[in-house]
Amino acid sequence: MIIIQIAGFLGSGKTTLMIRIGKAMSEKGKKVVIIVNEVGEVGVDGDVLAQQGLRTLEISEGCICCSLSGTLQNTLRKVKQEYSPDIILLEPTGLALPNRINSLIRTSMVEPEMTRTVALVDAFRVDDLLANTRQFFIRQVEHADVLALNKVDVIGEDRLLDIERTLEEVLPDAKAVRISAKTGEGVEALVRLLNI
Amino acid sequence: MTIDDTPQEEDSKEMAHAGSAGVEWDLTWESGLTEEEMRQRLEEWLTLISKELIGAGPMLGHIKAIFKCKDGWMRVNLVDPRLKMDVDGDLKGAVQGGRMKVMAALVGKNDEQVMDGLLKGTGTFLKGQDSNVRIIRTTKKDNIIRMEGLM
Repeated sequence: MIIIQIAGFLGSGKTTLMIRIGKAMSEKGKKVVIIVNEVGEVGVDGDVLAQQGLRTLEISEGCICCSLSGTLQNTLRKVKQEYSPDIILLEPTGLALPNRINSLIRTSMVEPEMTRTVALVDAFRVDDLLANTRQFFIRQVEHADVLALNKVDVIGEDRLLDIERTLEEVLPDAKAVRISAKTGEGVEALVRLLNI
Repeated sequence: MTIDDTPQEEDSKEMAHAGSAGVEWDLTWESGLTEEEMRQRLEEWLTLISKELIGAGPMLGHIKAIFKCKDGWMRVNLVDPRLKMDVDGDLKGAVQGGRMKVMAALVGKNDEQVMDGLLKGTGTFLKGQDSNVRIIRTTKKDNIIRMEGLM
């Protein structure tokens, strides 16, 4: 069993990428289960993923990296026991800290063969995020296995190069890839980088 | 990858200075809506909520909604007023009613402020609509009373 965490700030495109990767893996014959977490009681993403025909479990009313950490570990054990999936795709809230979630996975006793973390960065809004919530933004993306620069379909090449230079300064060790979760551009390259 | 030693009781939402709120409604329209008319109304609804929440400032968060009925579903996602909203779904025939969930999460606002913007934007939207609305649930029970005053 492999666990892939698709993390990133609010509105960075996590659900759209989950749908694309979930469908692609299912078409390859993999048994995929999605665990999605929403910060509020009224969850939207679980419904969206389920409408796409993907097996989805929703955890709401809190964050799996802090207030619902025990719920995450219980859910991982339950999913492993009841569904025996090849892949668990995990979508935390846009306010979660992925590194904490990885710590929780390590101590959850589900013993995945591999855990991968993708940090999605909203290329269109990255300047606003760095200007207004820099410390939190960096904490969200700093330990990811792959940094996926999303929404490249709405940004010109010069601007993208500027953003990539900025990210290199902020996160010099990051392995980055350009994607558009909406159009599918770069998603195959991202999956190859994950080595799953 | 390093192990994060931060205590789990540190709340990441508080750390981000963010607030969130959501509401679930049952909606009915007196006249049936086409898929395109439904899309226009949902976009207008989220735009009005966005204006209440951020005015002309940057949106450090998102507003999203899903409408479901017996004839299909539609999702609308607003992450930046400078970009077109993401809309997808599959609605067939003339839609006369269904269930709608709207949620918003934003940095720089608390839960109450987000709920307030969500309800004020909705109140503006509902003026002039030939629709009936019944709240199913909100993230804050006391907001039900305030919402009923808008209808």
